[in-house]
Amino acid sequence: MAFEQNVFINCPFDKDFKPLLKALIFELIYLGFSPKLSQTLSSSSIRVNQIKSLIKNCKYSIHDLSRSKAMKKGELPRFNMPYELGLDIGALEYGSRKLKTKRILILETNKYHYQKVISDIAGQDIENHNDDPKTLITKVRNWFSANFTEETIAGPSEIWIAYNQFIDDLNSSLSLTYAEDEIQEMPIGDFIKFSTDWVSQFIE
Amino acid sequence: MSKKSIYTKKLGSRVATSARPVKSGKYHVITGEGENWSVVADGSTRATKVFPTRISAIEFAKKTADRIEGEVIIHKKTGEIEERVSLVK
Repeated sequence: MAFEQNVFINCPFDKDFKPLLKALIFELIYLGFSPKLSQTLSSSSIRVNQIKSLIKNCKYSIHDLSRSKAMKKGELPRFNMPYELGLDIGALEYGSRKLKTKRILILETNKYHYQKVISDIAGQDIENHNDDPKTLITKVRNWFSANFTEETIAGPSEIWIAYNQFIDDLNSSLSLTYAEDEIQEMPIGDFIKFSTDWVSQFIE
Repeated sequence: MSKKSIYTKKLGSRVATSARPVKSGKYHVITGEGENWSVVADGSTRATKVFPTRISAIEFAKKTADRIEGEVIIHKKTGEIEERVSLVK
């Protein structure tokens, strides 16, 4: 898919974040974008090179920094996400003319948490989602809407309603073949394909 | 997350077909604006009715689905399924 439709998602892939990630992926597909994640790439080449390639090929990026802190006592914060955000901002600042058109959204759980840990990103587009998928859908949709001032895009309620129906249809359709935990733990690449198939019929 | 792929074109097609319900009689109870809860008919992108509490939304959905021997799907705040209630007699 073309640069203009590609959205790089830089986020955690843990179990707790999965409800947010699934909602985000569905939303992007619903809005006509193509989500690109490092997790869906082959593991044969060096990960950071794959990420650099994604950054180069995506006009839009969504970076979730909500796990860049210790989630439990004794756990270390993860710095991959801020590192990849830095690469992306670097591409925007110092890249080709095409890369200068990039748009970057930064997400976090609680408002202004970034000011305590990475205050240099002040001035970027930063939103918080409270770890709530519906809030995330609303914030991301509104960000895209602000970037497409001449187009009307689906409202957050419509996307949320469609997402809930998709989840039901996905579980109902696969439950004849797979157990619930197998459906829940499907690779994210599969989730993208099922979402794409469903949306193509729902929106038609 | 498991590495085991489960996607096939056949399953993708089954999921896609379910996006176009033909009188499914299904009603979804989902989180709405603010603290509200919405009841949504399957296949629709708008709420049938909005309620201030989850209980009142479930009651309405069950009553409506009961008339047509339908089904109520109660969703969690994450969008995942909490419960399916069949009202087939």
